[in-house]
Amino acid sequence: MQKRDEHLRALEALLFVSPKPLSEKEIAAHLSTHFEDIQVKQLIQTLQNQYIEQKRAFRVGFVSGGYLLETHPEVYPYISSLTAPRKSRLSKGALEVLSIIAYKQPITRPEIEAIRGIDSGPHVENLLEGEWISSRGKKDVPGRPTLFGTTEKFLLHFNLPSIEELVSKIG
Amino acid sequence: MSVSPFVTPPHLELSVFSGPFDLLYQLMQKGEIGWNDLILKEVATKFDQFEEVDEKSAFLSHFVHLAWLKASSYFPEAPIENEENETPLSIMEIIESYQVARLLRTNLEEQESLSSLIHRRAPLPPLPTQKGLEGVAIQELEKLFKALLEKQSFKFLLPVEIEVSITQVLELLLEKLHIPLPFENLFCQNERKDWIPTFLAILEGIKQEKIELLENGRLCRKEMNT
Repeated sequence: MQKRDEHLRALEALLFVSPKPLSEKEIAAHLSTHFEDIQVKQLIQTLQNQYIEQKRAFRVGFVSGGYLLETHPEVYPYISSLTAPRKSRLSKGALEVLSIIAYKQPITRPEIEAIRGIDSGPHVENLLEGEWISSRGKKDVPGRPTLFGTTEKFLLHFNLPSIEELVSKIG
Repeated sequence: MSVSPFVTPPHLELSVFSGPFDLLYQLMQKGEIGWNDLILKEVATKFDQFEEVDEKSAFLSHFVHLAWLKASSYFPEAPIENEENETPLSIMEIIESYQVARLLRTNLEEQESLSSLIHRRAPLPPLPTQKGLEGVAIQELEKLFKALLEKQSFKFLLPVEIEVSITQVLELLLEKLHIPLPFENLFCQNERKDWIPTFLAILEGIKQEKIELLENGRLCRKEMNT
């Protein structure tokens, strides 16, 4: 077996096993204990190309700043009976609050309410409880209100590589 | 401290200034007349020049205001607040942010629909750490459970004596479960102190796939089966 094929096998195994997205740096750290001169980016591209050429059920996804294995959307009809629906069950209001936080983070609750013009406390509480958002410290103004920002769960659920990517789509 | 705008400012004739009080304030605030150049005593002596009660009261009012301004000029300057933090969002910013947020919301809804067609490995639950379990590391729990499986005493876990091992309790449960039984029936015949080994034995039985937990619906009655 060629050296490159072995690298690809190792990478595929890593991506398959990892329960969270792996950054290039993390992949390099894992693989460098077994191989020398690993070109992670090229390796990922090669693996991705192989999946596309062979019309495989998997693909390499890039979410929340890292790579992971995910099923191709085309195979969804075959697996839908086995998989639970991935709906967030967030109300329109909660989704609106989440959008404001995603766009303006870090942001305080009074600032969210100033933008929406209505009380958003219950939505913020629910989003915190569901781990869609988290505290990002306190704003250095009188009253020291809590600053909020989105979490990794938010990026994973909405399949987003990064917040910048989401904002740039509408900008 | 302010001066009523309805009172005509009295006219002053001083060594450094000649004119009405309000002009004096403006020149002093612009720095064209220094606070040190203005002698309050000299201003005070002008009180007697006014004969009408209205003029006298207007003079006093302006004099007090002037004295306050002069005294304030000797106060240390207040630190400059961070304007970026203090300034509330402008109307235009609010409108723009709201419009963008609405667009983002639509975008997220679309993104969620697309994302629901993709599946990945479910993230593993975080392992209990020393912090999470109040000082009990998961390795310690494993060690403890292994001991409970074989040891015939729970003395080191409980203040009461239970002379039975989880393996033994599991064997008894498997004998009982030749027919499906409600979950609570596995406990009712035992003393309260026996509940712990029974419950641990049920968990172990499920782990070893010797016992099956049946539940026909959410919050329905649970039945155990072999």
